Parts: sequence; structure tokens; C-alpha cells
Amino acid sequence: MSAEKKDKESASQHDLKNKLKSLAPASALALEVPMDKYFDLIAELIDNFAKTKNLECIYLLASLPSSTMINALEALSVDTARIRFIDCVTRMIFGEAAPSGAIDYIERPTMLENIILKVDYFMRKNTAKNPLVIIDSINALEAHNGLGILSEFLQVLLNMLRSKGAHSVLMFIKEQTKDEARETLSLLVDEYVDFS
Amino acid sequence: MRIEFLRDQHVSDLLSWGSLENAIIGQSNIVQQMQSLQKERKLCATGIECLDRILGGGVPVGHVVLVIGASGTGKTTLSLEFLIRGAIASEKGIFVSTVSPVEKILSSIDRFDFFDRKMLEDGRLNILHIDAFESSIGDALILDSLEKGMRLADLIGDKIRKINASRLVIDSFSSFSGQSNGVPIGPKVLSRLSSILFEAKCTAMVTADELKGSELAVADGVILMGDFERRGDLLRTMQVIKMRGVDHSRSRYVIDLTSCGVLATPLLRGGSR
Repeated sequence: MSAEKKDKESASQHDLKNKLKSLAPASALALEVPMDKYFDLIAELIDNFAKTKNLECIYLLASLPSSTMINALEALSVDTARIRFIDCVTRMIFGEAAPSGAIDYIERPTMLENIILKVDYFMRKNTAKNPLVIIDSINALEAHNGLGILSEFLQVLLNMLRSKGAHSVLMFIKEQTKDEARETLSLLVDEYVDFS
Repeated sequence: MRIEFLRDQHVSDLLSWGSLENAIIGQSNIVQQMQSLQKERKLCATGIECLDRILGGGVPVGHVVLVIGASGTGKTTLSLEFLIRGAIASEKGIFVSTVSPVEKILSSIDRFDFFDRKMLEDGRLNILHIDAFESSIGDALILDSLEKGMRLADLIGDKIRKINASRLVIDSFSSFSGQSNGVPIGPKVLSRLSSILFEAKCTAMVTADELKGSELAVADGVILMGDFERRGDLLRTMQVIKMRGVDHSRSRYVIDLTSCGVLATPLLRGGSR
């Protein structure tokens, strides 16, 4: 790896840390991330930000099955014990999924209301205050639902999370994000950060 | 007090039927009576957070709410939560089952995180099968005459007064759908129950499988439980379509039946494209 590239990477990691430091409870942050930095940023979010602030994590998966994501996080030495996964992919692809205390399955990423209800359920079951809710990814949700209903979904979900003091992070994959989606959805968050 | 039995409808009828002179003279009196009635008529917070939010606080005390929906839409779960939340607030409740045996109801309420068996032991929660009334009216499961239906309503009323119950659930009222000499029993029995409950200040949820015009007219409130299909996904929904005396939302909500109780979120309209 070249020194210049290393510097750039450490600069972006530093930026993220600063952004996260200023992320107050009940606020929503959109992160537009290039594919090559995707897992590093997820690891930073869970292993550094959530751990430091002692936040429980609710991780909504709309692009990868939870088993794949758990393997990837464990490969990066990220502690997954404090994460509750809402998996919208596994049942759609594989049908039945093995029950697990840490994973709840939604039939398909088109069942947006059920996602809101599942997040609400986790927050009621969990006594931890101000959890961190990661939505991964907005692009996958848009592909399944369309921009109109997705924006309505995020409005309801983010307002519910704000009312309960949760931190929300919306993941955008840079290579897959269209201008229209960026403009529409950036109106719903408190801060939109491009990590390219 | 006569005014205790005066309903909004009766007041408007008095105003429209009476002569203009009588109406004007009586109007100030009626307005005063209505104001005192509304002061007295408090809301019964169901304790089901999402429903209370939709209703703006709860159901007026002493009202009968029909919970209508096909099998599996969550009617029994909703009405059970109504009773258990009441028991948590020390309000006594009676669940009259016309379908499932008591043991089956008990096994289904164990899954609620907020249910405590002590509620059954100390009498805050009473679960009865309709057979419990059999000795007084014969086979309670076969309501083949109006007299039998009325007698059953009176017996339920006696039970409410005896234990001073504030909440009642009848699950389901479809068993009251028989006819006597070609006349439907259901609306008349519901009307009798409605008077008994209003007098006893006992709020009720009565479940039923389908809509019937005459029963809908008698009920003070109607909650519609159902399924909504969107692009192959089946969503469980709830909609308050009528609640006398309450400014409520008429939107459709998607619900989930969880161990924390019934949870609801607005049905997203963007999906209707």
C-alpha cells in the first residue's frame, strides 16, 4: 500500500471518528461509503463507537445474509455479542432459517412496516438506553422497494428512533447511489457524510 | 339518575323531535346535562400503547367495542392484552370464551412478558367458558331463542356487578348470531349488554368474525382487524372505524403480535403504487 493511500485512509478513519464523536443520541447520520472501505467503516462503528459509548447495536441487513455478515465481522475481530440482527435476506433466498437468539428474520426486504415493528420490539425488550441502529444498506432497500415508499419508511422509522433517543446510521454504497436517492434521502437525516 | 342513561344520540333526537319552543327552553338544560355527562364519562385507557395513541387516550368508560376480523388477525390477542393491562392497573376483568376452553386461553396468555399468574389468583383476571352459565339457561353454546340470549346477557351483568369488574371481553360474539322466529338475536343481546355495561361503568371488547349492520349500529366502537396484501406480502392490520365520543385516527396500521403486546406502525401508502 502506498504511503499516500495509507494517509488518505487514516484521514478518512479520523474523519469518521470525529463525526461519530459528535453524533448525539436521537440523531441520524447517513454514511456514503465506497465498497473498498465498507467493512472497515462498519467495524469502526461497532467496535469503536458503539463499544466506547456502551451502546447496544441493532443491525438491519437488507443486502447480505446475517451469517455472511457475522463471519465477516468475526474475521475483522469485531465482537458481535452485543448486536441484534434483523435479517431481511436469508428467508427470501433460503426459505427457512435456523432460529437464533441474536437474529430475527423478516420474510423479505419489502415488508418495511415489519422492519419498523421489529426494531420497536427489540427496543422494548432491551433495557439498554439509546441503542445504535445501523441500516445496511439503503441501496438494497431502494432496489426492492422504490424511492417513494423507502423515503416514507425512513421518515417513520427515524422519527420513531429519534423519539426513543436512539442513534441511527444509514449506510449508502457510493457506487450504487443515484443522485435522486441521495437528494431525497439526505433530507431525512441530520448529517450526510461522503467518505470517498 | 335519568341523565346517566342519556346518550349523545338521544340528546340530538330530543333537540330535533321537540318543538322549537321546547327545544329553546330545554336547550340550556340539555347542554348543562351533556356537559356534566361528559365530565363524568372518563376514558378507559386500554393499556395497549398503540391503541391508546390511535384513540387519543382510550375508550370512553362503559362503552362496547366490537373487534371484527377473520380468523388469525389478532382479535383474541388484542382483547386479552386489554384485560391484562387492566389487571396491571388493578382493574378487574372478565374474559368470556365462547370458543376455546379456559386451559387453551391460559396457555396462550403465558407468552406475554407482562402477564403474571397472580392476576388469576387474586381475582383481577377471570376467565370463563360460556358453559359456566349452562346451569341457568341450559346449553349456553346453542342460543336458539331471544329469551335465552337476554338471560345470558343478564347473567354476564350479574357477574360483572358481583366482582365489580371494569373490563369485559366476549370472544367471540359470533356464537350469538342465531335467529329466533326469523329475527336475529345478536343485535338485541348486544343492546341489552350495552345498557348493562354503561350502567356498571364496565368497558367491553367483543370480538366477531364478520361485519353486521345492525350490530355495528349498536356498538359504541368498531375496530377492524385484517390482512393487507401488497406485492405478495401479507401484512396484519388494525383500523379504528368508529369510536363514539372520541376523536380518533381512521388510518390503517400494520400490527405485530409480540410478547411485549400488540405493536403498531402506520401502513406505508407509497406501496399502493
